[in-house]
Amino acid sequence: MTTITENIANNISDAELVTLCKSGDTVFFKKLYDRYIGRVYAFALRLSGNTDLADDLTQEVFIKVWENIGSFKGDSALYSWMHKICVNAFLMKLRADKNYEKKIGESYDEKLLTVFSGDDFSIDMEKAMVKLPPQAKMVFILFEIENYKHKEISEMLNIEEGTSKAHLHKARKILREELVK
Amino acid sequence: MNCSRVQENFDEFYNNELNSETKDLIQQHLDKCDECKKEYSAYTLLKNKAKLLKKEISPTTNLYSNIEKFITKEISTANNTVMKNDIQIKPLSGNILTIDFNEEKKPTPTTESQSFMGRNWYWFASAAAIILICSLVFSRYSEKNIYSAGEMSNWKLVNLKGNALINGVKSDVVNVGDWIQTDNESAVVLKIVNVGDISIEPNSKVRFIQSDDNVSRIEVSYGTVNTSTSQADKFILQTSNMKVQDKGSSYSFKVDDKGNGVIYVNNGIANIESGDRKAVVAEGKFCMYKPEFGVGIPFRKDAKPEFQNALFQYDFNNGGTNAIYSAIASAMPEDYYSLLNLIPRVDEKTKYLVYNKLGRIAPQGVAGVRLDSLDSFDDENIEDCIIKLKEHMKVQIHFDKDELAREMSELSKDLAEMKFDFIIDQKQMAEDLKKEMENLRIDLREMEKDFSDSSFKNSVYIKEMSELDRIEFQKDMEKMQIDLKENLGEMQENLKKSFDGKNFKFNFNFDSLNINLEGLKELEKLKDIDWENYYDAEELKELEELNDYKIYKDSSKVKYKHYYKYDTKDDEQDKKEEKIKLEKEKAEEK
Repeated sequence: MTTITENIANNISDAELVTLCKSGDTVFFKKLYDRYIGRVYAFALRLSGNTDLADDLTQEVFIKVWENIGSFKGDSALYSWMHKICVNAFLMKLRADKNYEKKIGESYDEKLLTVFSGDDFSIDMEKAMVKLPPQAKMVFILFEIENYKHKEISEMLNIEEGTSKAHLHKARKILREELVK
Repeated sequence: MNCSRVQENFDEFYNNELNSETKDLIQQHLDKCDECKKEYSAYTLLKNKAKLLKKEISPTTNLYSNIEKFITKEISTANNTVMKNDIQIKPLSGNILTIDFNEEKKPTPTTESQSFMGRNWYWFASAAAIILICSLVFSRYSEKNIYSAGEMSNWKLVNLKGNALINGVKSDVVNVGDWIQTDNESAVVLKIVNVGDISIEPNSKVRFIQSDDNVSRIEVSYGTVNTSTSQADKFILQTSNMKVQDKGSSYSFKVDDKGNGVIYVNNGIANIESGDRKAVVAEGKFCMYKPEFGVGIPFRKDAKPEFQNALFQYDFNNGGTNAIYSAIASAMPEDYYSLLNLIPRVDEKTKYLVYNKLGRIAPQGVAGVRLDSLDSFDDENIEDCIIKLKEHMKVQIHFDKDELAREMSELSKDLAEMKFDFIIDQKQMAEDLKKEMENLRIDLREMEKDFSDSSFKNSVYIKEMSELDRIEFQKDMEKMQIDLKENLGEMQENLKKSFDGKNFKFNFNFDSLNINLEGLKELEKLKDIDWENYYDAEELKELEELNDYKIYKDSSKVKYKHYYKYDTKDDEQDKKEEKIKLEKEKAEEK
């Protein structure tokens, strides 16, 4: 049965939800989770190209959100903030574990196909994206799927705008080659 | 413009972000240069493919359980008295919480967040404090599962918007018994641990009453309260002269400052009690309450207006039998629960009429209600019926929050102003009643058909109705016929009086309303049936177990007769024993 708290949580804005999460109420945090799990997971899954790695990454993102929600200032959209956390967690993993990149490359699993479950067109695209180098992949997903501008991406990844454009160019080139195969 | 410049600007060109001059230049180049044209079509193809990709993907495993484990662990290991924001919380007693804001250490919200949190910062902080301390207290007591007043608090208050007043002043401390008052811009949620949430809407005055029997009570002075509880009999909402108890449900309750109340049950069942009157409100039904009369009969909002009006007149305007007859005549199958609620309230003869109507409109007959148990039919029986019929009764109305608030306000206003007009179309009413009577006749005929049918042995009636019942039923019907006749005469008189006979000519044809008891005469013939042909010994035993009858063979007539197991013989025996006992006592006294 939906409680009134849940009903309230369903109808409030992100900003209000964040404030209530700051109060330490896990009911509201669960709402925040429910609201964003789909988008965060899709992002994590594309970055890591593997369901197990995506599960880890997603959990880490939400735990970080819980830990740091007190410092979320509301100067950016909640979702961008979560993206940034996800990107950082992903980069940290790449840095901490030298085999991580290798895992992404080789761990493309069949499970992924069922998770993505789209038309053949989409599946081909998802398959091709796994082949992208991490940086290019991040930029491509953020630019083409999540609709960020190069300026926003450069801030999020802490790179120059020009670098972001170069990564995107590289990603497109690789994808075109992959899709022709 | 050269090829590489053109290709660099594909994104801006595609997104229409270029000035018209550059845009034209690129377009001209694309028209001329095959290479760039090819590149651009590859670019758009990829772009379109990316657009088709899913934005959201659900994980195949439940990721939240791990996250939850982590965050609960974090809460329980947090310091007992100090929050992240340096707010000192001291529980004075089990039910009182005070929050000291340490002025020096008070966190200065950054400019960005200040604009958002604004003047509500204290409230959010206090809500946070209350939530934290409650969760801490509970984690400590959860093993005991016993919540008693004084020892701990099992409720917490979360201010959602605006500033609620505590006993008329702005305060950070709420005690049991304190009046919580909201204005047009404030709303509060009262969370009762393990029970549910009570949302106190704007313009309301409510207080929490701690009770020792593990039941949380709130008293509503005026305003709107929405409840959502998950446990039965753990929460009572009351006003100065009525109370609502539920079995784990959600409902909206609105009461004005004069005590006129309206309730809408969104989910589950709510029992309302006020003095002698009781009502069992099933989901999707409204129910009204007026202090001088008590609680009315629950109804659905899309019931016929004449039905709603009739109930209103009966409940709150001394409408009496006239109103009831009109209600019965205009009841639709969906008004089943309203009629059930009528049974305990009306007199004996009207009970039968209601019962008959129920029998015809119910999808499954009158669930578990026996004709001979009508006299003792009470709110518990109503609840049983509602539960039994839940699957068959589709609730069609579902309001969204605003709609419901509007409906409740309208009803509340109508109730306060007594705006329900009882316009009886007398002719129509006479017709309706006539129809009712005819229906009664049809029912009897059907019953007769059942009895004479070859599948007679399996007939419900044979199991449900013994010979004794039938005789009683027939008597009742005859009595009802007489009563109705008399009553209709009275009704006619009343109606005549109320219309002075000037503007309205009232012709009531009694003959058309006579109950045709031919069906019953046919039933009489069944008496001569040789029962032995219908039951063997085993079936008889089964029947005995099924019913409270003793079946024995009347050897003189070679027929089976049914008697109640607890018949006069036992009574007489009891009386004798009692008499002896009394005499003994008297003798001892002497």
